[in-house]
Amino acid sequence: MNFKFPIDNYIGCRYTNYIGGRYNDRRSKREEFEILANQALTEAVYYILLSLTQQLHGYGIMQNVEQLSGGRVKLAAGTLYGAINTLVEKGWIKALAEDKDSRKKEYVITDQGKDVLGAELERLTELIENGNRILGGVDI
Amino acid sequence: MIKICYKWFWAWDFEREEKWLNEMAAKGLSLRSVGFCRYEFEPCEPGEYQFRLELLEHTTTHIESEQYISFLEDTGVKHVGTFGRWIFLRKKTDGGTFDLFSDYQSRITHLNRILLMIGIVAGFNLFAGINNLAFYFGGQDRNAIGFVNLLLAGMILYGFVKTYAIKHRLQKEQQLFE
Repeated sequence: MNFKFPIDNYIGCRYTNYIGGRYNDRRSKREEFEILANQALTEAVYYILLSLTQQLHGYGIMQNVEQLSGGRVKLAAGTLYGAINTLVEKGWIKALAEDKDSRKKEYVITDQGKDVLGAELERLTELIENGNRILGGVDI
Repeated sequence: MIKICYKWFWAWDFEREEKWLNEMAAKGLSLRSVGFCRYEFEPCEPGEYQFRLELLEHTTTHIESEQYISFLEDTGVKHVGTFGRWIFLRKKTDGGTFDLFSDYQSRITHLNRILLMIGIVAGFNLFAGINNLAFYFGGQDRNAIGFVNLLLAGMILYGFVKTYAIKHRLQKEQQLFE
């Protein structure tokens, strides 16, 4: 059964959101939700999602990420291909069915992917705030 | 002028094979095609190209492999040769090193593929060797080819352990870094 999970209010009720329904459904949706709120994305995935807020093809993603990170993060083709497939599987990005036989397949972020990015940005902000408070020194 | 070299590399020595292909490319010889123990080179500018190998999950005729290779070609990587599930890839040197993997997880996945392949071959040889020698030493009128199997299994196991050690090191790094 396909339940459209309401994510937009997760910021307020991060750890206590329950979905109505049978106990099993409720528990599995809560677990899925807690996993979403608690897991850190890898740097590569974070930058891929960020890049795909505009539609891009594979090489475009590589270039964009390298530029965003000032040359620090260089995605290799093999790694990128695996990441893109996983992200499509999870529904965080989607392939654009422009030209099925066209060489350059393009991708774009989905609403679910945007939610994931939002959660990640919050997590990173928490990390920076604590780091600044204890160590000091980073300008956001 | 086409140059042909005959060389044998074990599956787990693929990085040594890459190193050799890149040394040839630095000298001005670019890999053109591959056969069993047979490497064909064509002249090029010294250092113009870099080479990498990858063991694919499926053979090149499979749709997933075709999609992967097509994706690679979009990023400027040319597929110059195939041997079984191994693909030989070439890229023009434009700034950095040519790498297929930029994080620990994809390198580990690749090594696992290789470990599985050589593990199966070693296991098969081990079984065949023990089976054959059991009959041979059991007094049956058979040859002792089992020794060859066991020797092969031993060599492959050596490669397996070497590769596993690399994978283990990568996994330890993964605990701290990506």
